[in-house]
Amino acid sequence: MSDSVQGDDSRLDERTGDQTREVSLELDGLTKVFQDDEGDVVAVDDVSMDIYDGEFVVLVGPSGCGKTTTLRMIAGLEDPTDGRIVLGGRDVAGLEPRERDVAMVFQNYALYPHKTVAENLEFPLQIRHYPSDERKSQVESVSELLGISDLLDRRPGDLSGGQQQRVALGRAIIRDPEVFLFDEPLSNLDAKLRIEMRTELNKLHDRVGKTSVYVTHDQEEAMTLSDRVAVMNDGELQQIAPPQTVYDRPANLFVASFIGEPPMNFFDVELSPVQSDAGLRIVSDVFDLLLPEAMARKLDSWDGSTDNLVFGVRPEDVTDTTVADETFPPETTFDAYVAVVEPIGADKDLTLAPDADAPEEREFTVRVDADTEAREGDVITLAVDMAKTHVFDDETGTNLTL
Amino acid sequence: MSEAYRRVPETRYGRLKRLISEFANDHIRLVLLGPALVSLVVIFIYPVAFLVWSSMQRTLAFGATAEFAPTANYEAMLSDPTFWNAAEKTLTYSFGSFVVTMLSGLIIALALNNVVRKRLRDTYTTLILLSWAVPLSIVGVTWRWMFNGQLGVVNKLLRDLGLLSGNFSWLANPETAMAVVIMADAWSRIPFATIIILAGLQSIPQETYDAAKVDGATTFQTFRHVTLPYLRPSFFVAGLITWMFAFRAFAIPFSTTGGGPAGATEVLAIYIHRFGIELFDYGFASAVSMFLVGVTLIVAGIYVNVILEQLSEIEA
Repeated sequence: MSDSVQGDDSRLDERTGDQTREVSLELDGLTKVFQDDEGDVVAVDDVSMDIYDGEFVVLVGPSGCGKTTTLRMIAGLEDPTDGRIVLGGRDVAGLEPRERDVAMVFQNYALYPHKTVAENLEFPLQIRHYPSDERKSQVESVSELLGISDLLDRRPGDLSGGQQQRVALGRAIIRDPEVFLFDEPLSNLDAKLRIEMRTELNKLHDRVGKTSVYVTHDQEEAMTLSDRVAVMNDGELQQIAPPQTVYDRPANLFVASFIGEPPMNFFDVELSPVQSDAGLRIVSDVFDLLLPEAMARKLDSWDGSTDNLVFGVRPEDVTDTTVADETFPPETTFDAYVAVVEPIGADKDLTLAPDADAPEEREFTVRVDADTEAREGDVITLAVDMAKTHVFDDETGTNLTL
Repeated sequence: MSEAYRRVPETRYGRLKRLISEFANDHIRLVLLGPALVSLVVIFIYPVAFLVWSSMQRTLAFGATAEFAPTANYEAMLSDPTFWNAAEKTLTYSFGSFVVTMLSGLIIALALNNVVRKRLRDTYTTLILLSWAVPLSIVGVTWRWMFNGQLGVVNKLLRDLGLLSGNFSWLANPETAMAVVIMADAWSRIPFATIIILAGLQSIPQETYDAAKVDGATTFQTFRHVTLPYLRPSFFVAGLITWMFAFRAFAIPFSTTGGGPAGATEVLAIYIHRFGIELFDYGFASAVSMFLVGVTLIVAGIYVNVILEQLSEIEA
């Protein structure tokens, strides 16, 4: 686990080509324990990460994974039980939110309903006693940036959700803070508006260029917005890496299953050595496939038990051989029974099973080209892009083929 | 009515039933509102009409008979200096109680709202509500004894603390007597104001507080820019009701001071009682009651139509 986290810092540098970026926000062993009637609940468990200046990091995970608590601790709304938060080179532990240099955008916008849009925008400046002409010019430039100049005299109650969220963004931007915090800011918007606002946020980040930490449970949002994705589960940081890395090289079973839609398929498998050379075959009751040499070597060098191995294949890394132009070596193909065909436009999702009578929990999904001729009830031959598969240790969840 | 209602067999009894059900169906509003309207007429409209009528009767022979004289009582009222004294005392009393009640209610509600453990908060709330259940005349008598010159616990405490040497007759001094009845009145109204304001406090979304904190507001700034604006509706509702009841208060001033000393705490309700019940001048007492009702209605009307209207525009 820790290896993958370490390794990805260099990956960031490699991606941005910038070795001299400064750390803007550092979390070090951050832990939060809530006291409950039934005892202690660990919401955030020893989370450490470095977030670089101007970087956009998205914390993603299922509900209750501790992502929001982490964000609230950065904001100063929640006191960490343990660990350090270093913001702009300053340890901010124990400081009030107003003594930290952070701005936050909330899921429910949290605008002040009794103030007009202009008053909402200038509130952070007003309470810091900025002179009124400076406040006015700031409100003007921020409202122009966000396209809400004609709404300045309205109250939040008269605005649509998208407009309210824009005002909330403006209220954060106007202060020019060290770091922006976003707590699921788009989840109250309808689907179309959400995608529009996502694009707009992306542009805005390019223009403003501030360090941002963004919490969401929506992996699509996480992938599209982020420079790096931090996947969390059960209060623990699972992996932090650029979105493509998280998708291509998931650190463990959880990340592999959480990122990707439809989710990765998992099969219980056994390893079987190949007599003729040093290769390894991966065997289940559905298939018998040859692992690429690089993966086989990594599995060989692992000294744990190989009794509980899980083989992961993404639905999109499987091809229907009957309509493909190329021929596939037999050691990368297997047969399966087609239970359901779902056309989704450019592709078709097939729900497959080992045979016609297999129970539902043994079904798996593949995404194949739309011109496939597979019908429900057919048995088809599929080829697996073996280089993109993964083998995990079921006990620890670790990806053994990274 | 339509065929659907003709299912009852055409016996004589069935015919009657059908007629009733058709009538009810055609006049459904009347049927549903009827009972409420009847009780409203009996317990509200009729007494008020009677009050209007009796305020126009000049009482003769100690209430035994009366003659119709529409304006006589009102003229007598307006030219009576003791009426104006009572009106002034009523304003002092009601606004004094209003201010003390609302401030204390706000402070107690804020304190209660900060009690983290729900069980504890509910216990405190119940205790505060208990004082609301004490009958007003009992409150008055209790306060009278507490502030009694010779035997009162207040003087005893002040003497023990060395703040007072001899005895001080709180209720014999016009200014302190008014202060005591105002305090007693406020004491009985604080629980209501507290509950309304507490409900208002609990309706404020936590995220708005969080936003204000991250925006950089201090505790006081948060109170001013978030808490108070959100509280305005509940504050106005609690305020109107508190003032209205204090304006018409009788039980507390009557049982604490009886209007004394020398009319220093004689509010309009006691004034009405003196003329109507003690002196049998029903006509005059009715005229003063009309004044009391009129002022209350005007203030409440303005309040509801102007202030609450403005508020709901902002909230919407």
